[in-house]
This record gives sequence, structure tokens and C-alpha cells, in this order.
Amino acid sequence: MDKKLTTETLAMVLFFVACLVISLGATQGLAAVWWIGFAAFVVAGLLPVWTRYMDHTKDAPRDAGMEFDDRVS
Amino acid sequence: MDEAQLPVDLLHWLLAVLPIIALLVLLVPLRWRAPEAAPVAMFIAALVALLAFRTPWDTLAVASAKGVWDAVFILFVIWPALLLYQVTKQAGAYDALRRGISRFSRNELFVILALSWVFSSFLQGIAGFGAPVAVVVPLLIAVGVKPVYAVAMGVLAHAWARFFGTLGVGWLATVQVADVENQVAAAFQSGLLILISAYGGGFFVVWIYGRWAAVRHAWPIVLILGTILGVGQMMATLFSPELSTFLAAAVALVALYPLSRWRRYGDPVTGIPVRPAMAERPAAEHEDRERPVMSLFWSAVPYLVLPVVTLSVLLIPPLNDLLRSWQVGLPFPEVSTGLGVVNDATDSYAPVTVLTHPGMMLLVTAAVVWIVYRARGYYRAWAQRHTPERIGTALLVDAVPASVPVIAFLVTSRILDHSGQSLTIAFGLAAVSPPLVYAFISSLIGALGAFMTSSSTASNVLFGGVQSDVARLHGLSVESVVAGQAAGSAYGNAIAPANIVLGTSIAGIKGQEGSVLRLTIWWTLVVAVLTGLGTIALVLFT
Repeated sequence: MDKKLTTETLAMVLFFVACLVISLGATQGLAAVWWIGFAAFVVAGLLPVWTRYMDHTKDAPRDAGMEFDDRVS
Repeated sequence: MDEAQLPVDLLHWLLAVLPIIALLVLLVPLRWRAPEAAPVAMFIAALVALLAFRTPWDTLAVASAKGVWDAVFILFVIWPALLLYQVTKQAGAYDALRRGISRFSRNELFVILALSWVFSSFLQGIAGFGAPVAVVVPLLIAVGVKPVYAVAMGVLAHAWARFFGTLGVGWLATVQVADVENQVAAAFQSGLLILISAYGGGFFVVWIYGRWAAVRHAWPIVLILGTILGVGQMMATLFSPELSTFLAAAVALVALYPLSRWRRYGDPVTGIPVRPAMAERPAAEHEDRERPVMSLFWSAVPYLVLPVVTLSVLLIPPLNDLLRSWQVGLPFPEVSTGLGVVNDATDSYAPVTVLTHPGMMLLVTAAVVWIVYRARGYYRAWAQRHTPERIGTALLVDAVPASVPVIAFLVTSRILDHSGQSLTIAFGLAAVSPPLVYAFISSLIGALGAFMTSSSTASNVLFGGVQSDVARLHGLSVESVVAGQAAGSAYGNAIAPANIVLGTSIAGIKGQEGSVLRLTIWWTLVVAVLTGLGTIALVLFT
């Protein structure tokens, strides 16, 4: 996986984790818990934007996925 | 939700629409990829909520988490759909299907219309939630449509089927939230206004295929199929709104066979010199020297299994009741804003009925198809001709960049909703609109909801109640205004970013969402104007 895909995967996982943690913290009235969830959520949102400014010159071309399907070339 | 203290002035209205404008600017002129643009719109919505709509941090956190949970509902379609795509593709089924379809009719425009308009509408009638896009876009590419055009056709042509599709879920949501006295009239008028999108979907496909020359060639079949689809749905709403799209699309699907025997649509297209939607050569043409690894029948197995699985679950009440008994939802507390917008506590927010969800149908279909293709040795046969890919890796590459923007879009929508920005947008439009002008823009509000959420159902949940309230306030027919909302919630899907991201991901052109939007936005504007005029006519003459 290249850096962009890794970062976006991390962002996606963080979104899901944040969702569960916020639900737990907010429902139980644990402010510290939902704040941790919300912080994870903010990081998850920033990561995909950050990929725009990453150095991708060392990324290996992806060798799988639909863009490498010869039907769409 | 109590919206009594919401500010409805130009400044707050502009701030409320800022996330949507930012998203459009980033996607279209600046050509950002959707995974990059969507979170920016999300953060803008959050900042506006905090600074201008007195939204406390805890409300913002809860809204964000609910948005992520909303996305789970859609991602549970995207991931299994992409899995089914990979399971089908790596057995060589698309190659066989493309060549089989080419033999079914030698008229490529007929084939493209059949796939992008009729077959996708049929899938929307029974499954929906992105399944038509995920299934049809690869098929369009397989018959030689350029990926950007394939996505535009795949997202737009079945948009008409969104409201009554998925066995009427959009309609059922509307009657839950809107105060409609005459439901039969509301359903029928919705079907009447949706006629514009139904015929328009067919003509859009023909137009982008080959401009006026293609329209001259294909107008009879568009009128015939459009009548079966649109008028058929409208008439079916009189006795079963829930089944109206499915019934109409099923009849249209059957009608394709006799139409393919009509020489005009059985023989190759002639007299269309410019075909901007088509690739220079049909993809994979170089492989045509070899026989496909499977017959047309076996290549169509996924599309035979999917309706069988879906209809078995949805139309057998005891099985449906049993499977529906297991739901998963998250608890959330009551949250409010300084402006008095209150969202109630819930023990199970937006529960997902996992076993009857369209994603489960796709997952079961993918499993059945994998077992069948493996037993018949198709994976081995295809791997001897092509370098095999690992299904898991290919799935990650396709699904992750599609998932991030879907999450961000739905979080944005939920923040707009929980902070009261959605209602400020709707009430702002209502405040400056005399009754007939409001009738005109009622479908635009529905389209706005669909744009924000990529869902007709969600649009109607968001705005259905507001629309009926404002209609009553203005002394307009509630049924007609709700019909405008319904039609807008359908055609608005043609420009909904999450739908387009799904399409671009399926087509392998992630990052070209702006190019697709540039094709679909003009159609959407034309349909919006015609639907607005239609709503005015309904208000005046019913």
C-alpha cells in the first residue's frame, strides 16, 4: 500500500473508532472519553487533506484495483 | 427538533450554505479529489456551527459520530458491491458478459440504454443504496463507454427511481415525516413529477452518447421505455407505491427483448458521426481472438442471483420478519444548541437491519458467485490468461478512497442538521419566496437534501416535514409541494458527491469526480427548472 492509501485507511479506521468512543462517552456522561473520540475524529478528518501535500514520488504504482483493469485503460 | 429561535437572515443563510459552496468549488474548478475536498467541507460546517449557530462541542461531537454511523449504512453497500465486482471480474465474467451483450443487439446505443437506464432502474427498484451504480458502471465500461461517461450514465439515468425505489423506502420515510392528508394524491403527483427525470434520464444517455444525431436515432425507444418506466410507476402508485418502481422496471426489462428485434435497434448504429462517450476501441478488444472463459449465461449469474436473493428476503414475510429482528444501532444522549435546536436522546440511533440490508444481499450474492465460479474452474482459467490479483488488496485500493468522502459528506449533513443550518437554508428559501416561487423551489430543497446525503430517503427525512409545514403556511397544496420535494430528492442524486465517488471508484477514475459532475450538473439544472414548473402547475390546477 502506498502512503496515500495507508493514510486514508488510517483515517477511515479513526472515524469508526471515534464514532464508537463518542457514543460511549456522550451516553455515559464521560466528557474525557467523548473528547478523546472527538480528537480522533478531527485527526481522521485532517489526514485525507494532508495526503494532498505529501511527497508521493517514492510511492510504488498500485498493482491492483480497477484503474489497472485493461477494460478502463 | 425545535427550530423557533433559528436565525433566518442573509448572513446566516450564506454561512449555512458555505460548506456546500466550498465542496462544489473544491471539486469542480479546483479539481480536488473527493477524499480531500469532503473533509474540508465538513470542517467548514463544524466551524460555522460553532461560531454562528451556537453549537456546543458535545452537540458537534454527537452529530459527527451520528454522521459516521449514517455512513456505515452506505459503506455496507459499497464494500460488498466492490467485493462482488472483484469476484466477478477475476473469473473473467465481465469479458464474457461484454461479448455476450454485444451479440444480444449489435446496436451499442440500445445496449447502453438497456444497461444504464433500464437495468439500473430495476436494481434500484429492488436494492438501491448504490447497488445500481456499482453493478452497471463496470458493464458500461465493458461495452466500450469511457469511464467518466459510464459513471455519469450510471449515476444519473436511474435517479428517477430513487424515490419509490428500494421497495418504496423514500416514500415510506416521507409519509412518516410529512403531514400528508391524501397519500394517494401525494404518491400519484410525485410519480407525475418524476416523469420528467424518467424521460430525462433516457434522453441524457442518448445525448451524451452522440448528441442530436443520437437523439434522432433513439427518440422512439426513449419514449417507449420512458413511458413504461415513468408512466408505469405513476400508475402503480395508485395501488402500491412500494412496488411501483420495481413493477415498472421489471416490465421495461421484459420489453427490451421485443424492442431488440426491431431492426432499428437490432442493427448497428449508423449516421452518428460523433460519439464522445465511446472509447476509441472497445476495451479488451485485443482479447477477442480467444473464446471467453464462460458463456453469457454463467457471466450473468451475479445479476440472476442478486434479484433472487433480494426478492426472497423482501417478499417472503416470515423470512423477512425473522431477519429483521436483528438490528444494530448506537445510543446517543439528547443534545441541543444555544439557538434551541434539540435532538432527542436515542437508545438505538439509525439501527441497521444487518440481515435484510442491501449490502447483505450483495455479500450473499458475492459468496454464491465465488463458490459457483470456483467450482466451475473459471478463476483458474482466467488466471492462465491474466496476472491474478488478490481480491483483498484490490478491494482495499477501491473501497478505502470511496469510503472516506462518504463518511465526510454524511458527517457534514448531520452537522448541518444538528446545528439548525439545514433548517435555516430551507426557511431562508421559504421566507424570500412568494407561494408560487416556493412551489417552484420545493424540488430544489429536495435536491439539496439529496446532494447533501446522497439519499432520497434522507432528503425526505430532513426536509419532508419542513416542506409540508411551509406549504400549509403559504396555503399551498401539501400533496403537490411534497411531490416537488419527492421529485427533487430523486433527481438531486445525479449530482450527489457520494454517488459520484462510488461511481468513480468503481470505474477506476478516482479523482475525476469534477469531470462527472460537469456532465450531470446541466441535466440536473434543466430537470430542476422543468420540475419546478410542473410543481407550479400542480399547485394551480389540482
